[in-house]
Formats: sequence, C-alpha cells, structure tokens
Amino acid sequence: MKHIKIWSLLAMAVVAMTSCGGGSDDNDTPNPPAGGGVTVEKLAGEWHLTLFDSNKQGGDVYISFAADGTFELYQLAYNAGYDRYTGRFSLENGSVLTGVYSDNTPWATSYACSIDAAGTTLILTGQNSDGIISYYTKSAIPDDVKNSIITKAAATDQTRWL
Amino acid sequence: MTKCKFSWIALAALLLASCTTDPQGGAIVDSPEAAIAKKLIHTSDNAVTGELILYVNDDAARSLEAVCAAEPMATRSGVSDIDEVLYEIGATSIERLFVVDPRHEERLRARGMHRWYVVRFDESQDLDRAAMSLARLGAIERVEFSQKIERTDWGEPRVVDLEELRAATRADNLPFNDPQLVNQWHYINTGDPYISSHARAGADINAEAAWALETGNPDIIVAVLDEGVDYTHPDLAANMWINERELNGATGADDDGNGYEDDIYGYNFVSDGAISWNDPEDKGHGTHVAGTVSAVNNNGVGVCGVAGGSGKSDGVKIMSCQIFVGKANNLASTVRAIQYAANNGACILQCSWGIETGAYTSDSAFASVYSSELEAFEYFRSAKNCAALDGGLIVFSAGNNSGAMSGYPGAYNNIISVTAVSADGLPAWYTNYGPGCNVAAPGGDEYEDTKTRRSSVLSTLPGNRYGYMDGTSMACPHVSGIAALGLSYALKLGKTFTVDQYKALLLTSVNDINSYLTGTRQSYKVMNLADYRGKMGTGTIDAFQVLMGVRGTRCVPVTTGSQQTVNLQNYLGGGNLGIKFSSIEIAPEDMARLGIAENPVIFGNNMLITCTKPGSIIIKVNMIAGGTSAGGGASIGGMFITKEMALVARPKHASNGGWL
Repeated sequence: MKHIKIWSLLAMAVVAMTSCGGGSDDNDTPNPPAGGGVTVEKLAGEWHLTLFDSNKQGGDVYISFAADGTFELYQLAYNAGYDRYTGRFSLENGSVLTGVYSDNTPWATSYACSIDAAGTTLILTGQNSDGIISYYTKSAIPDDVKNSIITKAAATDQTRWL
Repeated sequence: MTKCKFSWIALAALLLASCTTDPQGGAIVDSPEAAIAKKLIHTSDNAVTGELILYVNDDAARSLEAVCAAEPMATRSGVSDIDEVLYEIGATSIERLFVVDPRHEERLRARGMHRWYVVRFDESQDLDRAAMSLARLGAIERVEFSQKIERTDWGEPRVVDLEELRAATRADNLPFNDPQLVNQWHYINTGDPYISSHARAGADINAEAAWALETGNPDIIVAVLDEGVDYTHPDLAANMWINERELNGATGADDDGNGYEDDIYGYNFVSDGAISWNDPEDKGHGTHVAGTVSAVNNNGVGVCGVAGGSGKSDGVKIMSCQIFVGKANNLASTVRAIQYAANNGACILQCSWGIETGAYTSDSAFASVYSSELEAFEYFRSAKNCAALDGGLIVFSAGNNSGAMSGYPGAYNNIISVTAVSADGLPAWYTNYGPGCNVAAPGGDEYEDTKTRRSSVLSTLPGNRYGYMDGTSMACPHVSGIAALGLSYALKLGKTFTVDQYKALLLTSVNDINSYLTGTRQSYKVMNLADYRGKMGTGTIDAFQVLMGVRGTRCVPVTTGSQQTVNLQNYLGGGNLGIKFSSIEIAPEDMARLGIAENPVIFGNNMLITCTKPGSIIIKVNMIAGGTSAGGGASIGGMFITKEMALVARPKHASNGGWL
C-alpha cells in the first residue's frame, strides 16, 4: 500500500509537471499541443504574433519563414517603429526551432514549436527556462508594417539589452 | 501682470484680513465681505466691461427659465433682489449661458450647467461694484468676470504670391503634389538653405513617414476656436465640416434644433451669426491654423495640412467656432463655442489663444472658483464624439511673451500646452517655456534667417491666399493635426483610448530637443539656449511615433534572476525626453506572475526591478510631462501622465534586440 501510494504521488507529480505551461501559470492560456510533425513546408509563410505569455499588448511581431531556411522578422517592440531582422533558422526533429540573425547573433533561445491541424496557428514555447508561450496566426505582413521600418540611426541605443 | 487699480476687489481683499473669531472660541470665520469676495471668479483686470457671468441657485434658475421662456429679450430674473441689482446696473439682457440643445439638455442639466447665466449691462457701470452687488445676493453662488483673450501669433501675416516661391518638382520626391509642400519645412525639413541657412534636416513633425500610413479620416472633427475660417478657400473647402441639415434647410431657421441658425460650417459666437473673416483687425489667424490642421492634400493646389487627407476627400474635418471678430472677444462666446463643439461632434479643441501670460501663475489662481470656462472644458472632455477616444482632447498654445511659464488656460494641469520651435529645431525667440508647457512643435521664426524669412509656417489665408505666420499659435495646430491623424489611424486599426491614455501617447511620442540646447541662438534677440533646457515640454512632437504608439505598446526588456537597472528614457520617444518619472504601478497578480517581490524603484531615469520568473505583463509608468513638478493647486507645472508599457522578462534576450 505504501508503494502504491508513492507511485501515485509520483504519477501525480509527472502529470503536474507536463501540464504546466512554461513561464505562465495562467489557467486561461491553452496548453500547446504535443510537439512534433512540423515541417519547413508547414512553417513557411507569414505569421503574426497574437498572444505573448497571455499578453495581447506589446510586441507587434510578424515573422516570415521561407522554405530555403531563411526568415524575416518585423517587430514593433523596443523602438518607436518597426525593426526588421533577417537570418536563418533550422528545424530539428520536427519540433525544435533554432535560429541566428544575419549579424550572427543567435536567437535568445530555441523554441519548441507546433502547428495546429488547420495550419493557421503556430505556437512557440521558449526552451532553456524561458518557457514563454507565444501564439502566431497565419497572416500576411501588412504594407503598413513594411512602410514603418525605422533606420538603425534612428533607433535608440541597442546596447540597452544584454 | 497689469498694475491693479484700487477697486472693490482690493477693498474685499483688505476685508479678508478682518476675519473674525467665532465667539464660541472655535475656528476663524470669514467676514461677510470676505465670504462674498470668495464668490468672484477672476478679476476685473483685463475683463470685458458690461458683461458678467452668474451661477445662480436652483430657485433662481427656475425663475429665470420661466421669465426667459416668456420674454426672449429678458432683462429681469423674476427674483426681486436680483432684479433690483439688474435695474441698478442697467441690465440690457440676461440669458442662459449654455444654450439649449434638446439632444444634450439632459446631460447639461445633470451637470448643473443650466444654472449659468450671462448678464449684459451698461458698459459705463463700475465692473467691480456691479460684481460685488450681485455676489452679495444669496441666490447668486458665483460671479465671473469675462476675461479677454488674445491670439498667440507674432506680428502680422506675410501674404505670399505662390508664384514667387519655389514650387516642388518631381525631383523633390514628395508624397503629395501640392506645389508648396516643398516649402513647408515644418512637415518635411530637408535642411534646404532655400528655407534658411540654419535649417536642420529632420527638424519637423516627421510627416512623410506618418503619411505613408495615414492621412486623415473625415469622421474626425477638429473644432478651431479662433477667427472665422474661410470655408470657401479652395485649399480648405473640401475638408470643412458641414452641418448637412442646415445646408439643406431654410435660411434663418434652426433646422437641426441645436440652438443656432444657419450654422453650416460652424458659427460666429461673437456676432451671433454668420462666420466672418473680413474685419479690419482680423489677421487670417483662424484660416491659417485651420490650414495647418487640414488643408487639402494632393489636390495639386497650394499647401498641405497635417491630416488633410490623400486627395480623395478623406481629410479630417474643420469646424469653425468663431470667438474673435477683430479685437472683439468675450467669455460667453468662448464658452458657448466649446459647448457647440462638444454638442456637434468635435473630438479635438484647437485653441491658439490664451489669457495674457503671467495673469495667472498657478492652477489654483486660475481655478480658485469653478468657472464657466472650466465647466465648458469638462463638458467637452466628457463628450464622446469619436469611436477611438472616450472623450474630447483640448490643445492650447503656450503663448508668445518669451515668458518663463506657459500662459493659461494652456498651463492648466490637464490641458496640453504647446511651445514653438523653428526650422533649425531650436526654440523660437518668442515662445513661452517652462512650467505649464508640455510639448514642442514647429511655430516658425522669420528672424532665423533674415535673408530668406522662409522659416515661418506656411499655410492658408482668407481670400484664396497663402502666407507665413509665426507663433505658438502655429505650433498648436501641428499638435491638434497630429492628434487628429493618430485618431484617424486608431479608427482604421480599431484601437480605442481613454483621453488620458491618448495624452500620454502624444506627449511621449517626441524627439529629443534638450541635447541641442547649448550655446546661443541669434534671432530677434540673442537667446541663451541653456535657459530652455528641460523647459520646452517633453520634446518635439513626431507624427510617425504617434502612429506607432497607436499601433502597439512599447516594450521594455528585462533579464530575470537579478536586479535590473533599466533606463526608461530608452523606451520612450526618441530618448532624453523632458519628463520626470515618479513611480511604477504593477497589479499584484502581475507581480506574482513574474516573481517580483518588491515594487520597482525609480531612480532618476532608471527603473530598478527584479523579476524571478519569465513572462510579460503591463506596467504603468507614472511621470510628469514637461518640467520636474506637476501642476495643480498652488503650482503651475507639468502634466501628470501614465503610460502603459509591456515588460518582457526573459532569462536571456537576443543581444541585437531581436524578438526571437
């Protein structure tokens, strides 16, 4: 009985660990589907960030993934205009996305990724204790965004972050 | 401030010193005369003669309504002791200050605004004596002097023959085909020496980048409280607000029942009739500021306006609320104009005028007793006429006395007050600066380069003319126009703001001016630029930044696990803003979410914060916009604003700032 009780406790702990989101303990945020099965073909296209760690405000981000392993990213986040980044990405085992910017800066972390069955929702979950879950919806990058790129000279000091 | 003459008010002030002690040994109470003097709003200095504004009690209001209903040109109130005074001062009329508009009467009455009356009387009567006589009556709760106001332009307009100016060519590569856009450095400044040998590229409102995203929306109505706007001007006509029911109604009739007859493009509240612009003392001031807000863009003619559209009848609309006819103006006209703007759809009040600088030096002096003007401002602020904004926005010019403070009403703590810079990006010689000033915009300065004299603001003038003017009067409509442009973009994106959120957005969408304020500037006089540092408001307004602020919330990155020192200036506007941070607010559940054990601390421009968990939350950054202390009460100062920002806490960020 004692052993059964211990195994039950362990089983409960495993269930609890696998059902927690990364940095979010918000019960309203849907848990990402199980990883795997993502291909470059499914990933290719333009995506718009719609939810970042349960926060709909902040960080207007568009990402375009190409079949040749390159990406283009537009972000309205830390500056008074959109910053544009480019680089290369790779997809490992159909579930882990890593990347490096064109200036050889690696991404902050790698991301577990999944795409829903309809192919319209991309979910990225930060790895390496990042744990932030981001939801992207398949959406063309608007001209307004492409017309709002600020020049590097106009951006504030980029050494402000690590 | 003009020297005070001995007056009944001075007597009352002396009597204030003769407060008596309660015979029971309790608190000191005012003497009767002192108590009466407390009912007075403003002073007779610089006040219109033969006019006073009264706030009456409910009983008197009921009586007055009955009399005025029966006698359209009433000279009595139906209350015997009031009527005795009205007779003594030779009253020629008494009528409700805020007109009856059945669509809004219930809201107005709920605010008690139906109790304001304007009495006009023999102008030879001593104004102070008349005021005190009325203030002594128990039925009269407040007596307000009708303060004169003045336009805040400098000098006379310089009419130009556009043929004499260089016109734009294809090589200029401008976004619109208006031939004089090339000379409107205040929108797009290329540093062209044709404008001024001191012109600095980028010293403008960044209109070109903004116009790529938004040019205006005719659902946005800007009320221009000023001289009459020439609504026939070819470069304005298509963007004038039109009261369709009056346009299609009968002449001499109040077709829409809003209290005014034939108010097709607005109304002339001074003359109580048709909008005019031909008084010998008129300067074209109203037409000029209207052109800055919304001259028709891309029509192949003349000039551009900040929110003048793209050539498809899509500019924001101008409502002409005339409060000047030549030198004539009065408080009742101004108050009614504000009410009219609120009642007929305007969401921005554009006010390039004010009371003589220095007449008031604190908010409490300006608002010691709640005035009809403050009442009207609040009425406008609470009017929801734009789907993107939960109320009305009020923008004033700071004044042109080279004074070390803003003039009022602009200086009042919740009104935006605009200072002026020129084509060199530096303060114009005439601009007020310092406490009460919130933001800077192009106002021009013809003395920047006395050879070209083209560093003034170019806009429309009555009679199908164009011309240059200088002043915080010209700076103010740049801010109104940008506010209108931002709301147009908000409508397009389906975004909504409270008035306070939108003011914070506007005042933090600016570029650094303080870094340029060293050395001297030669203009009409030699200016020591260090005198202006930190005193021009938060910075020079940037239309593109406003649109980006409408589009998304600015983010602040922090790394989890250890205390972070974050320079918040790096995440506001173009950096180095004229603001003082006061505190950070975070909801308790969000503090728990990111494992923030203690409230972040503000130290200068820095936020000290420790997050132990990754995630993203919204923080509220409280700050003073313009100056180091907030206005209000016994102070004149900056505006207290709160800006929401998104805190992005992660164990690691990409070192180049990339999102992934």
